[in-house]
Amino acid sequence: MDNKGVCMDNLVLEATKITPKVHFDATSGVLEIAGDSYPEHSLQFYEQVFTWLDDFIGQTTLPITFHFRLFYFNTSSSKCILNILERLDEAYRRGRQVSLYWHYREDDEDIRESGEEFAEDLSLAFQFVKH
Amino acid sequence: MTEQYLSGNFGGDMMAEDLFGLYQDLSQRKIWLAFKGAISQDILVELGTLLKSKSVLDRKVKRLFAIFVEMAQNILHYSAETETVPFSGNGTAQPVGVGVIVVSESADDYLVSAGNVVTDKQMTYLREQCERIHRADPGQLKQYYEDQRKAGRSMSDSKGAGLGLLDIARKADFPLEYEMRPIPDGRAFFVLTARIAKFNKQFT
Repeated sequence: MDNKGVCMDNLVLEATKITPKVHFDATSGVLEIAGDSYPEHSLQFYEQVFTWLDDFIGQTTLPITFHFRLFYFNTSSSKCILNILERLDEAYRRGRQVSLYWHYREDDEDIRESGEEFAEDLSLAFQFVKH
Repeated sequence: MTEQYLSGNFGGDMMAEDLFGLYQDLSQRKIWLAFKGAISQDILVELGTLLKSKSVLDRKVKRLFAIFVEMAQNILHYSAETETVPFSGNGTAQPVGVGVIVVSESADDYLVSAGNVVTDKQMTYLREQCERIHRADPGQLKQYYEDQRKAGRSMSDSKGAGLGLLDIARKADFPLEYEMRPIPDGRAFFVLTARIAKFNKQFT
């Protein structure tokens, strides 16, 4: 295997009513979380996301393109999203190339604002994409 | 054979007349939904779906939905009264919080009210949280929210009623209303109400 670590499996979780779609492509470095997130135990759901991301950051050098396409998330999911963002931010500060896209619907300024609040404490620049 | 069901002795059960009264009451108060019982995640999702289908999902109704989810999950996780619900969530029987949650509308507002039994310790905690929220301006609320989110992000227990309360307070258009009503066993019944203005206030 080469040093880009393409031996890693993708992480693919289909959306449910209460958990988002997760499509993490280890070959392209394009990672996406989309949909609604309000599971009963957020950490139980996001643990696998953290683990995959840690492995991907630690074992590969590929640039990361991360898309958040969230429609609704509850407060406990919000803690997990912060956790993901901090991992990306740390990788970025250590020299990893990271592009972060925060998608929101034109009529949903609340989602944009929640992205702006996450961005305040991070060095990583958010690119806001209106749909 | 069916007659015995129709004319049977109802005893302490709700009689037809009471049910009509309840029906009228629910209609007059414009109750979108009212639920009393164990709020499992499955129930929460179904009620939430019902709520979303009640109206065009604009910014206001989305906030109403968000407040509903936080209040319902607070009951699910923290109510001092629980019932064991079989096959809830991950497929095993587990205790689920019991409470009451009502979503309604008035001429000017949408309302979400939730009530559940709390212990002495929870009562003290909730009173402190609610008072702190009452004293805060929007900037402070944002700060509290961000601090609490940061503090709780790596805890193994990712629930945290405090963050939910702050989120509810930030999404509501008016200060949260809360009440602690002592109940005979020494615990209390905690009621929280959040209001969202249907129309944007223009001259304030």
